[in-house]
Amino acid sequence: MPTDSRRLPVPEVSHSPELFCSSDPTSLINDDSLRKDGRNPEEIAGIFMQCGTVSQAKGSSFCELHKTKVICSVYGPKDVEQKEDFQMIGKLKCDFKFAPFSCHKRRGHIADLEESELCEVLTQALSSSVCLHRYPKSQIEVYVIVLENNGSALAAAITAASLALADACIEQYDIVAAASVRVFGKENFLRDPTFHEEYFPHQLSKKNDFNNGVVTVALMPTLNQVCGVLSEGCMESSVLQEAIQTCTEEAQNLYAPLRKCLTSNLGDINV
Amino acid sequence: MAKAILGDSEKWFIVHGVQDDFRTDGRSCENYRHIELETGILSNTHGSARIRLGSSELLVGVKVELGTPKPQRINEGWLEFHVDCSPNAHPVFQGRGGKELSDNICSMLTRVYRNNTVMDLEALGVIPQKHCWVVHVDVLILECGGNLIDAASIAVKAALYNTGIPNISLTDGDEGEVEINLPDDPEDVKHLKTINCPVLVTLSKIGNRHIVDATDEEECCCSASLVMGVTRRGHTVGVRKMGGGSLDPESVTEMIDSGKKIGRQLHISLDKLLKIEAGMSEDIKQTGYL
Amino acid sequence: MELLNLQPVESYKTFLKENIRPDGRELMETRQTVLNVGSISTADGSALVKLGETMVICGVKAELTIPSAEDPGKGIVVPNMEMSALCSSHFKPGPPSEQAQVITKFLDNLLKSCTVIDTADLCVMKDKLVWVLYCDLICLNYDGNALDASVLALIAALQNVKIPEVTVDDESGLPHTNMEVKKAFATRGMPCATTFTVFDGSHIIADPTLKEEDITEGNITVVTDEHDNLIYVQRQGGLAMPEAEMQKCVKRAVEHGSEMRKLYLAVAS
Repeated sequence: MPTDSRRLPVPEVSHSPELFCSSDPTSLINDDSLRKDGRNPEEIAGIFMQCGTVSQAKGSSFCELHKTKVICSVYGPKDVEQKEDFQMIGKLKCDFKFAPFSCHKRRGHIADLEESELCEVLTQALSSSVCLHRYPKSQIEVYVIVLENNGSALAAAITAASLALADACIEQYDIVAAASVRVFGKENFLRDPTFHEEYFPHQLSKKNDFNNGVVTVALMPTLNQVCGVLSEGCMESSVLQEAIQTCTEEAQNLYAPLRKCLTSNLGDINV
Repeated sequence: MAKAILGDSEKWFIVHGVQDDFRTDGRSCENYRHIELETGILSNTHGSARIRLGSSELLVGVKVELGTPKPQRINEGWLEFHVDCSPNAHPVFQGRGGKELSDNICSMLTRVYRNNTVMDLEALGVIPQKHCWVVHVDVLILECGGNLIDAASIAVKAALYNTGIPNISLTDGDEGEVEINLPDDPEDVKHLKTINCPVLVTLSKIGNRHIVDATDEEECCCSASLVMGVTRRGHTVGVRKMGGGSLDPESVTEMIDSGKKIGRQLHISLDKLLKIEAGMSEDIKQTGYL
Repeated sequence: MELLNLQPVESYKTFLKENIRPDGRELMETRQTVLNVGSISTADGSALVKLGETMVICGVKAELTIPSAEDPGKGIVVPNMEMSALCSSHFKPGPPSEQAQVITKFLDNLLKSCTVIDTADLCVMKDKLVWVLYCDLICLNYDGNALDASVLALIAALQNVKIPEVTVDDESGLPHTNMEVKKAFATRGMPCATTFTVFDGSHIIADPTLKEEDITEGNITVVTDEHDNLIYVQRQGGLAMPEAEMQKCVKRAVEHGSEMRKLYLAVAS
């Protein structure tokens, strides 16, 4: 174990107390077909959006989807780092991090495989919306920190990042809205899953692992273009298609609140 | 990412060809290139495979070793993927240049294999909380000719099919400890159940059609693609959009449909090939593999 | 405002002649402080501090570990400050910046010197099992004086910590936790930090903003406790201060400390 001289020494191994408690897996939907937090399967979670949270950044945003909290800031466009080649199109650099205290299990300081994968999905979703050809030789930096992960963190992060880009006056074809659903059996699509409802392969027995998973879709609502799809879990392709459809609809519905958030912010500046 | 460099007119040529369902190498949109597959070629691994898909070439080696189960999954083993890009394949792979490509392949393989329907992870458990099998799957990219993700997944499935895990026996040792004995005969192995292992199918959007098995030139003309894991029965395990472009919701639906169809065809030929390769087609019938 | 960006030192001087700062504060006035605790449910204790525009969040995660051989009956508290690239263009992503390391070390010294938490309280079973409290602080918006904000966030988050009950099975030696029953720790002392800086060798200003930090040479941080005792003083950068001025700072720090402690008590109740 190499020690990091720039941080204080920590114990080599430590375990979350949740490992040692007895837990019995309960069904995601109770007999009254309600979810644990009292929502209907179809019911979305309330979303709170704010622009300009980080005053030091060119643009920033804060999104809260049920208890999931995501903060995002955008810097640039600025010069690309020297060693990179001359590029006629701009470069989008994203950084996606879970705060160490944001999950049930403590996160390390260095990005793990999950974080780098989600970062890549975020970058690819945003690059379809940002007019990168308008920013030759420059880079735009997007930093996302998940402060609390209560499920659907990727969806919240994509929405927050696009909002922050708009707040930073970076030219975009359209805003990007993202939503996710938990597929639970053939008929049940739980919208905006909480952490407890997210898909963890190891929690399921082999029998009911089929048609079970989670799907996240990023959408440009006015252009009706899908700019990101990520799914996990084994399901029939018809179920997957239906889940993507559900996500698309939900992301479409996010357009109005996103627009409201951006225009209300504009009002403040004009006054 | 290693990319071919094409001029605008060359790109247009490819795009127009795809529109007419006729690609530069004579294939139609939903055809794969010629696949060469070989298994059991590295004697110092527990399982291996080499694939040549068109001009892409990859080598996969599988090593199993005993490890300690993860605290939250005490009676299961796990698969660990590692993807390496040889600088021989493309000069940009020198140093950390291949990181983006290898991370993408690695995370996609991890995504589709961490699933109980795909692989019986409990079969990899040895003693709960104490020991389990850790399957290290190393993918080495030797030559880049496009569609590395699909090629990697086919080779991984073949290598896992070829993998033999030593049949260990447990005896009670001193002080209640359990001793693990390795078999004397290196041939005394059990094979992994790879029947449900998925292959990854990449569907690349070019113009307003999508193609499978894009060459590196075709990858240049494509801004968005959909990678999906497909099992033998046609179920999807893990989907991800790659590339910086966007897709129509309708074309996503179409792509999933053709991905499923092509994935199943791919499985049929792959299973047939693997049986021949293992030279034990009768045995398989008896154990009810197909 | 334009002039403040172009010729910060000159324009600042004209402001100080009138004994006022560009943001309307008096020289020894600190910015408005907002403290919010327990907003992160995934953390075992958390606090968010807004000091003017500066924003620092602290989340504490409690985990179980084997104690070190030197201190078998003591738990561990590890603070870590992250000046993320998100909070200001001054910072780059990657390993912690120098400033973050300084703050981490400062917080560690503070915890050790004034025992906010008695690490013996963190012991579950001697030699076998202790709690480790990972206190991760992240600066979310950096407009100067991250140190005062992080001390406030750290202490408030530690006061907010609730950890589940643990029992150790006598036979197997395996721990068992009950997530339903959680208890708080007795925290002792409420240290509070106040940072000052000197502009142009003669004007002492409290709670500098980022712009003020850029045009001054260094700062002095005074930490006081709930009995108005001086418990820690740190000087950073090439700053020299006459003794009389220093006395003034200490006096102001004591005042400021008692104001801040009202905040601690308000959120605790």
